[in-house]
Amino acid sequence: MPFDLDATVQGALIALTGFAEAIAILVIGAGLLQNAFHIWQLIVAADALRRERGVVEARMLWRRYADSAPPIALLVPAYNEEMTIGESLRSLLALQYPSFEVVVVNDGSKDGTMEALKAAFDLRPAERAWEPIAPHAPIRGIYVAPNQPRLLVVDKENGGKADALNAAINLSRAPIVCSMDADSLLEPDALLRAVRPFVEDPERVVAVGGTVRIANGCEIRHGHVVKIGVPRNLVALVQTIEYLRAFLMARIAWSEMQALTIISGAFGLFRRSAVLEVGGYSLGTVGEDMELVIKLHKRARQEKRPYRVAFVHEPVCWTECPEDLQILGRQRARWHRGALETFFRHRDMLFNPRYGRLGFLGFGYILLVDVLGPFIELFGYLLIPAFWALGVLQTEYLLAFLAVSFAYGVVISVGALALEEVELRRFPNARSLVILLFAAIIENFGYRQINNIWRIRGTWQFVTKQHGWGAMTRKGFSPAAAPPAPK
Amino acid sequence: MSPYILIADDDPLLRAILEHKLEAAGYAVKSVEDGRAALEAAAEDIPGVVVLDAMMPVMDGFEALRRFKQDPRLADVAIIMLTALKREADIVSALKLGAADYVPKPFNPDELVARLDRLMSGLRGASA
Amino acid sequence: MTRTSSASASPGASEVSLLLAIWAIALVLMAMALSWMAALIVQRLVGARLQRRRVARRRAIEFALLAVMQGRADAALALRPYQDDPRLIAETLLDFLGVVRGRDRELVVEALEAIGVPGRLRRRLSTGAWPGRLAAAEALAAFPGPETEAALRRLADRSPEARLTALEALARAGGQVSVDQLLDAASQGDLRLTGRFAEFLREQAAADPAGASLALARDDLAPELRILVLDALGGSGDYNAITVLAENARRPEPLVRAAAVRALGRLQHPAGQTAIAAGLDDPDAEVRAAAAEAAGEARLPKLAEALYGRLSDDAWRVRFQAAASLGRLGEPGLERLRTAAALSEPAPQRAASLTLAELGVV
Repeated sequence: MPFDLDATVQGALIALTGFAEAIAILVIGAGLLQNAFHIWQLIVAADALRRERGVVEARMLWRRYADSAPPIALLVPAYNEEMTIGESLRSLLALQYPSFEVVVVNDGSKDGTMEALKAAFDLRPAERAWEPIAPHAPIRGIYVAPNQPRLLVVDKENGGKADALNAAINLSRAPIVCSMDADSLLEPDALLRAVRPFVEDPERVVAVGGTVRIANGCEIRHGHVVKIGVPRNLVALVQTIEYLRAFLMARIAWSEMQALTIISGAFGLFRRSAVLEVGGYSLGTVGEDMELVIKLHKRARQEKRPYRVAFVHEPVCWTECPEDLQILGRQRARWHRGALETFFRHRDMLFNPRYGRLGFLGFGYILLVDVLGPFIELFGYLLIPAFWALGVLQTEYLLAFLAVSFAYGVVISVGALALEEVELRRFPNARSLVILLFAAIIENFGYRQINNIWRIRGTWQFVTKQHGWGAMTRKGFSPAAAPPAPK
Repeated sequence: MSPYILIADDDPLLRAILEHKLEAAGYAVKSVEDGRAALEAAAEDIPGVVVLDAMMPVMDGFEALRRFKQDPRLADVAIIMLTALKREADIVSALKLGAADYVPKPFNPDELVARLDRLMSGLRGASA
Repeated sequence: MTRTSSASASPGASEVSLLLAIWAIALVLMAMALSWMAALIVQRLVGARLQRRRVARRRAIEFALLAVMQGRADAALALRPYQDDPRLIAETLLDFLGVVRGRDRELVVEALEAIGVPGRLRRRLSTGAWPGRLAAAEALAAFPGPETEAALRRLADRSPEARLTALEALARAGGQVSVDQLLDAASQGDLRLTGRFAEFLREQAAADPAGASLALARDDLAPELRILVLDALGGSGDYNAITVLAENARRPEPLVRAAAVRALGRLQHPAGQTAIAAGLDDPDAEVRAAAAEAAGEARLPKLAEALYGRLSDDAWRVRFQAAASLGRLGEPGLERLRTAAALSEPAPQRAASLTLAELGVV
């Protein structure tokens, strides 16, 4: 019966419309919450940066802090770094800091890393009194360099980055330890800048994160960034914006809220005793750097101890990012898996009043953005345009969806770039700003969506408990790989 | 050419001050920004005395000092460490590595010139 | 485009306007962000010239100061054009003072005094952006005198950060800053307990150990402050402090006892032995570790037997410090380390053998 059929279709359409609207409201609502939070972070970060206006010159820092700066141990895990380890260590040993030691751990490299170290520094076997507090794979030997009293080399069996860092922490003696990657490029005054919170608030500060920036496109000589540039590769260019957003906006804001949960593995300072108290890095996780920070928070909050996880916004560390989508995808899937692992391992902290802001804001954010976010976003991209095309969703919904998926993203990316320019002004000229502005706009159309797919892949790996590391092929910071120096 | 004084320091202001003072004292001076550049300059034209900063990018003063002492052609060049590091351990390790003298920053330029005079005159006496 | 809404249940008017508002706000914010960035790019083009100018001005000041150091009488006149930028002068001067002292320093300071720089720096203390004010305060340390002192004391009434900078400059300019005054300010929260403050307090206490010892007699002193003063006394080399340190080694707070014992070790006087020996048997592991360290630091061979006992301590830090100190006591210490290295108990055996290996004497 035509009338009845019509009524059935009519009924189905109404039901479908209701369903479509419900999906749309969920997607728009979640997107709006996330964007509003990011814009708020942008404002908080801008305010924090304004308060600390004016980057202090290194010489001024030296004058103010040289006498009161505590000794620092740089922990350098090295795995198959034969080509670059000598150069990296020389630039580390030339850092400006009154008192530091460099503890290099050869994590059972399969190449000639250990031989390269022995040759470069004329290493001699040595002994050192130490206690195995944080767990790690067996140590094969300890070496010192007769002419470099600051250097200690540990040769151990392979166990991964967290394992190597644990060995380095056990063997170090300075009250502050600095975790880093063997190929992190530190600014000469990085330690002097990053130690500030420890000097100014010695009682409470347990960890300090530093800003990591993208070295691609910069001119690098002998392990130092000598001239800042903008990457020519599009994949690296959008990551430059991404890092600005992550460090300049998000982490400053999180630390202002006393809920900073991530300190990049490429550069972070920790109070050694606090790290040992929680047993060092957890082995067998992918996101060991995030996990450690959560453990520090957790311990201090459980004991109701006043503490701080601080952040320094000035660029202190440069790192090479992947320029290839496939490699980047593997890296991001791994990062996402790490975030999920940490979240579920410490899920008891979620909305737990005992952990204050950290439980509500910090963990709530991870739940919304990392755990549920990728799926809500995917739903949005697939369903909302389809519903609209089918005619079951009003144009207004589509517009609001476009706003939360793209327009606010542009606002936040451009805002982070503007913040960099107002407060730090590290990019060399107006031309590079134009290129970055372009990147800040287009990364919202395409890159963010691809990133979402990687995060879903990471979730899949987490759920299916896939192990193994995405290999990151690095170009190495040899002079040949760096762009030619202008003569 | 009479031996010159080689200065390695990453602080342009310090280089300018030393250049001015030492030239006024009648010395030929050459200055570079880091330890590696100092070794290169010294290999090209052996200096009479080297004034080395400790904390420099690329290659620090201690490493440069060690390499000077290892190079048979440069091992006899007198080296003065001029640095903001004041810890005793640093002073001891510099002297152990073969530094002729250790002058902490801030330094008295007249005093540095006097120390250089002594080292440079010893040099002339030896070669005469 | 027109949508047929015959099928869709049309959403309520308020919903529509909310959705449109989300869209409209996004467009407005996007326009704002883009125009902000555009303005910054234009500003950058202009700013590059200003920056070059500032660098050139700084070079000119440096050049004039170099000429002053050469003793050229007219050189100071070249500084006049920059007098209206006290921050630039202050920063350049601070860089100079960080490098040179002696007659050259005096020449530079005199030349700047001659053209009235101190007065301008003092006025800069009360106006303008804070980094400039703090730079001016630091630079004023080079121009001591009653006026500078008064100006710095006025600045010291501002924020805790400014207060510390001002007091540091004051002390460097030869003004009176007593340990008591610092402790009072810190107790009242007028100075924050930062590492920089700690260093300053240490300097002042080391310069006036008698005053510092007296300050410890105050019973209301917060433990953190007491620890800093004890630490400073340890570095002062003043043997009169031994009595006060020994008294503090019996206070109820473990961290204070540890600090007192450590300070006694650093004084390296045999009179500290009784207090250090008592510390080795303290119920708190932190104090035992400090005492073990102090016994080695003060080279007290009479404590070798007590240190040997600590090699079996429950706390690793104590075992490690005891072994390290035995290594510093010469033959009596080494002998006990060798004995311990041959033991079958794992804890003292490990501590002793690792220390012997590290010392290179097996």
